[in-house]
Amino acid sequence: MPGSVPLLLADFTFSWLWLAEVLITVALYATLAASLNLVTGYAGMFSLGHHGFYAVGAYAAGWFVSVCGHPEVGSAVAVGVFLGSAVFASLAAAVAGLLVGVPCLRLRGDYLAIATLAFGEIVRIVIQNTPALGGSLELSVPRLLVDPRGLAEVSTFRDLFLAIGVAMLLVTLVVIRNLIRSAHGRAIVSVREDEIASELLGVRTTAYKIRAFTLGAAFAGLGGWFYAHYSGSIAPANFDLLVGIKILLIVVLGGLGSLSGSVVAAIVLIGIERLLQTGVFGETLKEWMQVEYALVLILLMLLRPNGIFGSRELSDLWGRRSPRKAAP
Amino acid sequence: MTGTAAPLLEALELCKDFGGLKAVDGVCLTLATHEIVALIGPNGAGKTTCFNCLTGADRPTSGEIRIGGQSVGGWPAWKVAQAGVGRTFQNIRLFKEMTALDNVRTPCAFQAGYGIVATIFRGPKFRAAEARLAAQARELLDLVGLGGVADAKARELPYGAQRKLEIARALALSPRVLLLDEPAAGMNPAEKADLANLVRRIRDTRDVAVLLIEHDMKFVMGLSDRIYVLDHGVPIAKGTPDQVRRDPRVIEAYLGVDASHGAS
Repeated sequence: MPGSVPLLLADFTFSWLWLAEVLITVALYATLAASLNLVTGYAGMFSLGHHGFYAVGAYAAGWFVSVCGHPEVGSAVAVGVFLGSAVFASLAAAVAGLLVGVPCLRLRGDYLAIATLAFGEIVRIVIQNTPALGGSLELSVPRLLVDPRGLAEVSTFRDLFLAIGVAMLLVTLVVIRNLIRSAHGRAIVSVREDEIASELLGVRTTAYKIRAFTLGAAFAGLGGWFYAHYSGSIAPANFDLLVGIKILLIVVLGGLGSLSGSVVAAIVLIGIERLLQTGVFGETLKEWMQVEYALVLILLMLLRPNGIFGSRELSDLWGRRSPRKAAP
Repeated sequence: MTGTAAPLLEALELCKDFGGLKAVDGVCLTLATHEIVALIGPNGAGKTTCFNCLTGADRPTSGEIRIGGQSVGGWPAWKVAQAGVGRTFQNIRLFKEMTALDNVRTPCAFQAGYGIVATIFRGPKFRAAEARLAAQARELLDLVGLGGVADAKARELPYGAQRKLEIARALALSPRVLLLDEPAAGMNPAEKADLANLVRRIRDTRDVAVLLIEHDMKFVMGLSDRIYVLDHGVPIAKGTPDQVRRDPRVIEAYLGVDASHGAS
């Protein structure tokens, strides 16, 4: 998240403040990846426009707050606006998902990827050309819960947003996991497995695709809400294609159809990125940050083409591993 | 209708053109409950196209299809399936990465009786419905003899088991009509006999009519109550296995003109 913290610290020391910032970013990207996993991993729709819904959520939240005036920081009204903007952001992204999904979900594979890619770009360009949303400049999102001015407030602010971020991630994971483990979830996965067979066995494939796409968009919107409030200002550059690719990379690295994988991959990718950024491994490696994603992708394809977890979950490990005792 | 009860499934003058090719040309067929009927013909005779029309996968160019007396013309495939038409596929189309149990449970999604929101909170109604769906699915797996591999992924099952799993999955729709597209393809004689028994058991224990496409004549003749024969999309014969076996047009379609002369 450029802009939210000074990237260059002359003498870097590991601190809770730094770690909290990293974990907040991990929670955000894990949420985004989990929501994309519903669309791409479980429902099998290859979407390259997930950052578009992320942007819609962020700007919807920012707009909502600006309309609500400037409630006193930390007041009950401010908390209400904070939570209200979450609902509004998710709904706005869900509506965008529905509007994009209905015409686009007739397309499959590469064609769907191109159409969603175009959507992501359209969102960014529309925002750039809408003065009410800040145009290509920043839209500032007034602080509602804590104003991080002094060092003490920054610390409280980070702790608070870490808690909110983890809560957001947990809600996302539980909702998606519970949906998948139901009759409706099995219908969604059957569309990925064989759409024609699925339809001929009574599954309303189009309806389920739209539902999965819309729900995935809603959670991406929730991620946007979180980012808008955490960073305090949003700009179109925060939602470019690279962000969409980063989300997709986390999903693929973790494993299509594995929520645990999305979380672990977010920890790994964001963790490496942030560690390199600190410069503790030297200035050279700091520049190598640019190569990280490409390198990770190449290693992934060579070592684990199905992602770290494949379609398995962490919970499978302690469910089935018992007969295998560690050999000395 | 002419006074008698409407047949379970009825196709009237079914035609399907692909460009200039008449894949199905004027097929009429009827099915009644507890009947096993076969649709045979040389390769490319239009049997699978016929199935695709009956299940709503292809829209017939002309003709009418009625299920339980109701016309289903123009219905999407999922609606035809929910109305009680279950099918298997010539090339196995299981949900490969899903378990056998989940394969069989999937067609029941529309009978779940709870919405998407209920999946999040997993209340008593949700749990009761899930228990009911799982019990139904296990019963079907037992019926086809796959009760022991419920938790195996479909792709891990041997070929014969995959064919049976497709049948169980089609039965999960509680179909009134079960369409089997070459169910015995690639099976050895013992597996075929086993399959024939399974099909009879399904007919005897469930209120269903079975329509099957099959190339193995011994299998078809031993199992079917009636047979329809297609050649180049045109119906050329119908009747009991004995009638069809002796029909010179059938022999000609399968073996050529000389053979039919030689045989008569």
